This record gives sequence, structure tokens and C-alpha cells, in this order.
Amino acid sequence: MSSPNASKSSDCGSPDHDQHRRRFLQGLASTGAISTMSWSGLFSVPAFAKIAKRQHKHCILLWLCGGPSQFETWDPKPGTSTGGPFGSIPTTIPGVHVSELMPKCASVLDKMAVIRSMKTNQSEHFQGISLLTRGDNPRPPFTRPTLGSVLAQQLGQLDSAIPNFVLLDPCPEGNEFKSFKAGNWAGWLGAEYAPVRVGGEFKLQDVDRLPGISEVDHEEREALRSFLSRRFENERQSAAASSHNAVYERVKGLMSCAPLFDLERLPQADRERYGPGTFGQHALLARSLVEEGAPFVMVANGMPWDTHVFNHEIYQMVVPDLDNIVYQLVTDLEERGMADNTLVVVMGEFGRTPWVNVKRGRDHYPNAWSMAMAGCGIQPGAVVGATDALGVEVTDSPYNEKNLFATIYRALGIDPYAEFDIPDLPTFHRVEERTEPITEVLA
Amino acid sequence: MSIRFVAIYILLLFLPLSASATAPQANWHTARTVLQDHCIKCHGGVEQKGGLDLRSIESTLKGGDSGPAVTPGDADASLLLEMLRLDAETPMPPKGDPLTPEQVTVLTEWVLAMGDESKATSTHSAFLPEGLSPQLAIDVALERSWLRHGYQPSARISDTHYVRRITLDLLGRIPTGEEQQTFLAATDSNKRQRLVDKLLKSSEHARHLAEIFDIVLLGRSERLPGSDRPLGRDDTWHAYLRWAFSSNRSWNTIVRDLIIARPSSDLEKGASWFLYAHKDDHQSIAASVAPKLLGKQIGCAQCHDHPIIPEIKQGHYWGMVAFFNRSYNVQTPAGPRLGEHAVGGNIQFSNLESESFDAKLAFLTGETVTEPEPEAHVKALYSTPPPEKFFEALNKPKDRKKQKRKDTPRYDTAPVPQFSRREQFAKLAIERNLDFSKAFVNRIWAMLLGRGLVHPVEHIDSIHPPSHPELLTWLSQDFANHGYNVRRLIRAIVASKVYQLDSVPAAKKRPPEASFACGITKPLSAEVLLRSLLIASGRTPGPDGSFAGVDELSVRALITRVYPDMFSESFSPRASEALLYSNNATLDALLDFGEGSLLESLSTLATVKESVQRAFLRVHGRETAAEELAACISFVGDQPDRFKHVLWSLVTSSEFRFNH
Repeated sequence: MSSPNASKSSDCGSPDHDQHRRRFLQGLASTGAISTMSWSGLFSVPAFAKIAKRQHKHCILLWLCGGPSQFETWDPKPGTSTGGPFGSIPTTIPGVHVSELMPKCASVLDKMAVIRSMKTNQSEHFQGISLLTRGDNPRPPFTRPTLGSVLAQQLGQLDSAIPNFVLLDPCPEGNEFKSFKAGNWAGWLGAEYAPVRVGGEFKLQDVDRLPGISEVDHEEREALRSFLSRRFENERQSAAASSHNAVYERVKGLMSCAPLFDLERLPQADRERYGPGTFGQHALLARSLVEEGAPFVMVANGMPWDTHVFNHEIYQMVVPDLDNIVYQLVTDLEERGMADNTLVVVMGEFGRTPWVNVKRGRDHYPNAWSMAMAGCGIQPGAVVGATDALGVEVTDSPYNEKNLFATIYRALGIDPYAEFDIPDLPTFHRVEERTEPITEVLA
Repeated sequence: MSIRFVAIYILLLFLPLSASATAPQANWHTARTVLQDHCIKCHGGVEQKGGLDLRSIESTLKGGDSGPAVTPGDADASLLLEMLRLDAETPMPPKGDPLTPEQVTVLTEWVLAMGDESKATSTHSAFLPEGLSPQLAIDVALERSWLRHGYQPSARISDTHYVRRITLDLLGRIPTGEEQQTFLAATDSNKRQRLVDKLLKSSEHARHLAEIFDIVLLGRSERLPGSDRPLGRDDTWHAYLRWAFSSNRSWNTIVRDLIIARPSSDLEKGASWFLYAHKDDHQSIAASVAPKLLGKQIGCAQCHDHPIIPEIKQGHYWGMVAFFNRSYNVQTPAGPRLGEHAVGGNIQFSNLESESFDAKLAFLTGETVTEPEPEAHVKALYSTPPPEKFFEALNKPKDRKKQKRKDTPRYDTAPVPQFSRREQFAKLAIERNLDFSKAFVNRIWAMLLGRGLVHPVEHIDSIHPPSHPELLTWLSQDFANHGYNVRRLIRAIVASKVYQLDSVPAAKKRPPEASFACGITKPLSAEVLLRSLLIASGRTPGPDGSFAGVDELSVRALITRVYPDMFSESFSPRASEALLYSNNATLDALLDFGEGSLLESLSTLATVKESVQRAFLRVHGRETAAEELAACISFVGDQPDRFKHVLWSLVTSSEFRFNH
């Protein structure tokens, strides 16, 4: 397979381009009207990025939005009043069982880590999503960046062609995740760390340069646009204008890496292994983007886990799919030698109630829930924490979102307690109160 | 302004400002975040352990089984603080980490500050008397807050920028070159007011408001393939909105039209679509009416009382549903209508503890409606009864298989019961409910100023305090007292000083948006941006505001796909927007359309310099700065065909993307 990036370098050295650019910029200089600031601003977008330097560490977040049930996944309680109809099966870790709906993960659980004692305090989607993507409760006026934005900044490079934060999500409509998505993902880090969102089409739109516009013109008109636009932004100190200009800075990189988003380029056998659904195909896409150097990919899939009605019937359909996807991802990364530098996190914003409601559904339950991780920095086969016989309360090692985020940052070699002093905001830390990571799952 | 007015104005500005009277409220919002993180889970909307609810000041003062949780001004006597001590008998929180010393300090300061409040004798420091003009009330309230916080307001916006700003806000497009020249050439001191009055009376203004409220009330909608009509509404809906805004129909009447949905004239008939579009989904109606008409999000209260906002109860959510659950869609020869049953619609809801309740006709204000017990035969309960076949079907045994697919019934007229739950709702929602007025005032404020007095706009509740509470209340009362006159409200806001502030900050550091001391850069909606782009390219809108030879709906669909929502909390553009403008053939073709285009007219000018200057004037409505001129001339160099890229750079710059 040839990397689409490989062909980029031949475009870069075009003498014609260099010459024209020099002329344009010389012209600007000769007017003497351009301040040093704006002058250097014109150069800050390199004409053609060199192939992005591959970063060592990556993260894929399989975001099970809606709140997956721990009973039908990582923490089964078969035969109890809360356990539901499904049994449990042994895994490759002696003594550890998972739901019978997850035979494939059971066969590789010794390569993964499971936390069964998550205990958080937000039981509504919007607040829960915010808590588990930002790692803390809101503290207005300060907006904490989401995990993806932090990793984009820590693991990525600003001039990378491939987006530092990719959000794959085929379901734009109709749920609380939509209202979260409309919000501010990057927080104080700024719009350049916001996600690039790609929906179910498996490719980016409007990525091909129009035939009537030469590469040089396309490049230089953006330089001119940026120059004029930054002037407006600076004069008004407008954060909105800054976000607007930040998305234009993405254009060149996205155009050059667009083929990476095209699933057609991936082997048919791979596509079949991940299953026909968008969640599986997006997970495969995430793997391939990471191989190409993407530091962080979040795979979301609407909110199928939010089963207030017919929990068992729905989980019978969606858990085997998840089981396969996690299995394929974990084994693929290992086979490709990427497991050591790629962290996989599988979680939602909370778990589901032990008791089943009158509509045979399980409602939101942040008190005791489970999640899984694998790969970079993670101790293979670690199973941490426990709940009581009915899964109502955590009986051993409760961990909250701060513990989890400290763990993720540690696993990726990022200082969890970095301190930030931003004008007009109180001092804050990447993870507050020096909350300890979950050391048992760290390698 | 007369001398007397100036005197009142100055007097109002310097009314005694008592710091202590506002402090406890400020402290409460800090204290609340601590309580929210550590206590609300057990002492909030979902659970009230020990009978204690810590979601509001009132409920905290009331306390639980052990008495009041706080004693204002006395930290030692406050149970809440005592329970937090590590040496307490059962220290709180019972599990997990104790509160940090800083968090305890926040709570202690709040308790102490409450004491000051009880002692304080001064009335509300931010007093706004009745009888002011709404414009004066706005000016006083804002200037007073700038003085108090030491914000230096921006300069008054120049005429050049003003005409762009007001035309965008009132017509939903940039001014044409001719419109701009006419305004700039006028020399009378009253010319801004004259322009506003002219714009407010135009059909384009009605079209613009209709467009915004179409999106607010029913949401943007994809079109059916091959159709020029969005799903879930038809032309009568758009015609209704345009008529309502062009005839300056009062907002309370509009909302009655939407809720009661029994049109008495052809002009009103499209109003039925507001409820009809929900296709008999009563929860969807409740979840839409509350934020859009009353400025409140109640979806969270479906399964339990709102976990954070104390005044929103589970019973309110289901009460809202109950007001609409006798209504059903009916197809009549006159178009889609809403019928209503005379009986039924009794629902139960259960909370997380599986306790079951009957949903009462309970409104958000806490008022409930008692329904008359049906005494007569069911037919007599209708003022307009359904057809005979309806009653015949009632007596037949139900065939479950047949019932599965529910078709919209076709009746000659929509049935109307003697006692209509929708009428009751309209009454409660509109009459004596200041929040109804607040929701609209806040939305119009956000539309014109770029941010609501309550932000985000659909969150008028106790945890989203207004930036200028006295002003929101004053304007809302004034709006209600003056017959919910939409045009009067808009006119007052745009005539105010705050509307006419430059978006360039006066001081080195930009004051916070919520201060309104500096004009906010407001993103254009997809609709507004497209029309502006068409004008910038050299086209002129027809008398009805449309553009000959352009398939606006198709192009607009391209743009709405990549644009963020209207009235969103913060502006979060997507990379797909930049890709669209950079590489989409349809959008690219809009700029370069040959005869009559700006691009063509520029090519006839003698020098590049003149062309650049003309382009800036048409696109941004202003003169070109020296460094801009230099950059553009340098860019074009000796290749005049590169001029189209200059034009592209102008229409894709932030200056064009925002109203500023």
C-alpha cells in the first residue's frame, strides 16, 4: 500500500512555486507597509508541509455514548436479581469472567485492562459527557479542553497534515451528544485543537482543488486571506474570528491527507473483519489514521447504549458488535507492532442501573460502572476494582474521572499535574488536586 | 435629549451602589459550584437524603430533618459547615475525599455574606424606575454597569460600519452599494433612526424574522429530493410567519396562533404547522415548547426532578406533556389541523424510586389547572365534535392488528372540546408569566447584540443568572405592558447606545462579552451569508429580496450542512466550512458570473489600485487600509486574472463572516 503522503514531497519542491512566492512576498516587503508581526504571520503557514514527523504515541477512544451497561459487558452478575438474562464466560485471565456476549474480548483479555470500579457523579448525558471527555466538572468561566484537544496539543504538531484530533461520528442528529458536539471542545486551548469531524460518508468533502485554480494561486490566496483576516481578528481581539481563521489553516493539511479518510483504499478483508456497521468501519479507519500518524481519534456512534427500553434485546445486538471491534483493534495493533505506542480506551459517560425498569430498560448509573483500556502504558491483564454481588456499589478501589484522566495522561507520558496560569482565570492543573492515577493498570 | 431627561439619566447612573447587596448572590454562584460537585448528588433533585435539598438558597435555608442547613451570617451555627468538619460525628461527604480547605472557605464566605444581606436595608441596587423609554432603560442599565465594573465602552460605531451592521441585523444581508451611498450621503442627525424605521417596515425585514423563527421553532430541515420544500411544513407556514411579522402581530397573539392552532382566517392557517410537525409526539412538543417559547430546558426532568435546577420538577415535564396529549393531527380539506379529544390523556409517570404519580396539568410556574369532571355524554363535551365514524369506532371492539399503523385521520373540521387543554396552556404560558416575555426579549437581545442577557438563550433558570437582571426584568415587563409589540422592542434595542458600540475595544484589553461594553462579532447564519455573498459579487436583490438566476435553496443547503447552529453557546466553526469555501465548485462559481458581476466591473478600471479599492468598498463597505492595498496589489502583480482570488480572500475573511 502506498501512503498518500509519499507523493506529497514531489509537489513541494516546485521551483515555479518558489519563484512566484518569492516575488509576491518581495512585493509585499517593498511597500514597507507590512509590520513585522503581519510579515511573519504570512510565513507561519508553510507553503507545503514536509511530511509530518511521526509522533510516537497515539490514542483511540471508542466512545460508547449514552452509557454502556457494565452488566452486559465487563462486570456481569449472572444469576442475580440485577444480572439480566445473559451468562458470563471465563477469560484468558484466570478467575475473571465477562459477559457471554463478549467471547472475542474474553479470548484476549490478558492483553487488556478492565476497571470495574468507576464511580462518578453526573447522571445526565450532557453533564456526564462533559465530565468524561474533559475529566472534570465545569468551572465557569474556564472551559477545560476535552481529552482529544489535550492530546492533540501534547502529541500532535500544528503543521501536521493529518488532523491532530479526528472525531468520527456518523450520527449528527437528535440526541444529547448533538448538543455537546455543538459546544466548545478545545476550551482554553483554542480552536486549532478542536476536532475535525467526519461523518458516515467515510470521506471528506470538498478536498480536491478545483481545476481552474493552480496550486500556487490556491496557496497564495489563502495567505492573503489570512493576512486580511488576522488584521480584523487582532483589531477586535475576537475569539470567534480566531476560531474562524483556525479552520482555514486546516485546509491545506486536510486536502493532502484526505485520501486517508477514504475507506475504499483499505483491504476488503480488513473491512469485513470489522463488520458492516459504521462503528466498526470507523474503528478500522481510526486504526489506519493512527498508523498514518494521527495522535488522537475518537470514534463515536450516536447513542445506542442508552437503553431505557428493552435493554437486553438491544444489548444482544450491540455488544457482540463491540466485542468484535475491540478484539480486532487490540489484535491488529499488536500484530502491527503498534500496541506499545497506541492507547485504546473503551468507555461511555456512565454505566446503567442494576435494577431494570418497567420498560425492561436500564437507566443512567454513575455510581458503579466499568471501562476497558489496552495498549500504550497499560498493564496487560490488569483487572481493577470490584462491585458488590448485585453491582449496586463499588466495594473495592473506587475511581473517579480525575483518577482516570491522570491514568490516561501517565500512560501516554504526559504530566497529569501540569499547572496553567491563564490571564483572568484561576490557576488550574491538567488534573486537579494531584489526584492519583490508577497505578494497578499502569505498566 | 432634554435637560430634564439628562438630569434623570445622570441621577439613575449614580444611584447608591451597595456592594454588599449584590455580593451574596455572587457568592452563591461560587458556593453552588462546590455544592453541585460534592453534595447535590444526595441532596438535590434526584435524592434528598435527610430531607435536605441544596439546590437553591431557599431550600438550603429551609434545611432538612435536622433543621436549617445554614444560619445567615453565623458560620459556627450553620449545620452545613459543621457537617463538613473532619471531626464531625458523621462528616460529609460520607464517602470519598473531604472538601478542600478552599472549598470550605467558599461556603463559609457565602454563609457570612448572607448575613450582610439580611442586615442590608438598601433596596435593589440596580433599580430601574417605570416610565422610562425602553431605550433609556437600556442605556442607563448598561452605562451603570460599565461604571461599576470600570469597563470603558467602545466608541460609537462609524456610519460606514453602522449601515452594514443594521442592514445585516434587520434585513439579513449586507447593504447594496447604492443603499450604502444613500445613507452615507445623508447629513441629518436623525438619519440612523430614519433608516431603522424604513428597514423595519420593509418586506425583507419580515422575511428575515420569519426565516429566523422558522429555524428556531421548527429547526432547519433537509428538503425532499426534487422538491423545493423542506419537510414538516409547507408554504402556508412560511407565509404565516411573514404575514405575522410584516403586520407586526403581537408576540402573544403569534404564540396563541401556534399553540391553539385553530386558524380563523386564511392568513393564519399556516400556524398549525408548529404543532403538526411533531406528528403526534407529545413529548417532543413539550421538549420544544419549553425552550423555544419559554426559554427553559426541561428534558432533564423526564425521569426525575431536575438534578441541578431546583425549580424544574419532574411533574412539570409531564404536566407540559399532559397539556398537549389530547391533541392529534387531522387532515382537513383546509389543510393540516390539530384536533383535540375531550377525554383521556391521563398519564402516570414514575421516578427513579419507582414511585408513580398522575401527571397533573401543571405549568412551570407551579400553577395547576383543575379539569372539570366530564358529566355529559362524550359527544356533548365538544363544541366542534368529531364525525360520527369517530364515535362508532369507540364502540367497536378494538382490532389490535389494525391499530398498529396510525394514519392521520381525515375529517372535515378539526374537533374542538368544550374544555381545551391547549387553551389552558396558552393562558398559563402567556398571561401573568414574565418568563414568557423574558424568553422573547432575551432572544431578540441575543439576535441583535450577539449574546443573550441570559446566556445561552434557552436557559432562563436559577443557575444561569442574567448579566443584567434588572434590565431583563424591566424590558420584559415593558414588552408585556406594551402589547408584546415586537417592532417596538427591536427599535428600542437598536436605538440604544450599546447596540451602536464599535466592535473594536476602547481599552487594550477587550472587556468580557457579558459586559456588552464592546460590540460582539456575531457570526452570520448560512442564509444571511449567502445573500450577502450574492450582493458582494455584484447582484442586486429584487423587491421581494430574491436573486434572479440563483438557486438559493440548493446553495444554502451546501452552507447549512457545514455551519454551526444559530444561538449556540459559543462559535465553533468546522473545518468543513473552510473546505467548502476553498474547493466547492458551486460556491466558486457564485463570484464569477460574467456580465454585471463585480469582477467584470473591476476589470474595466484603469489600475489595480482602483480595483482593490472598489472591491473593498463593495465587499466590506469601507475604504482600504494602506497595508491591505499593498498586499493586494502585490498579490495581483502583473497578472490581472489573479484579481478573482483577491475577491475570494475578501469574502472568506472574518470581516465578511461576522456582523461586527
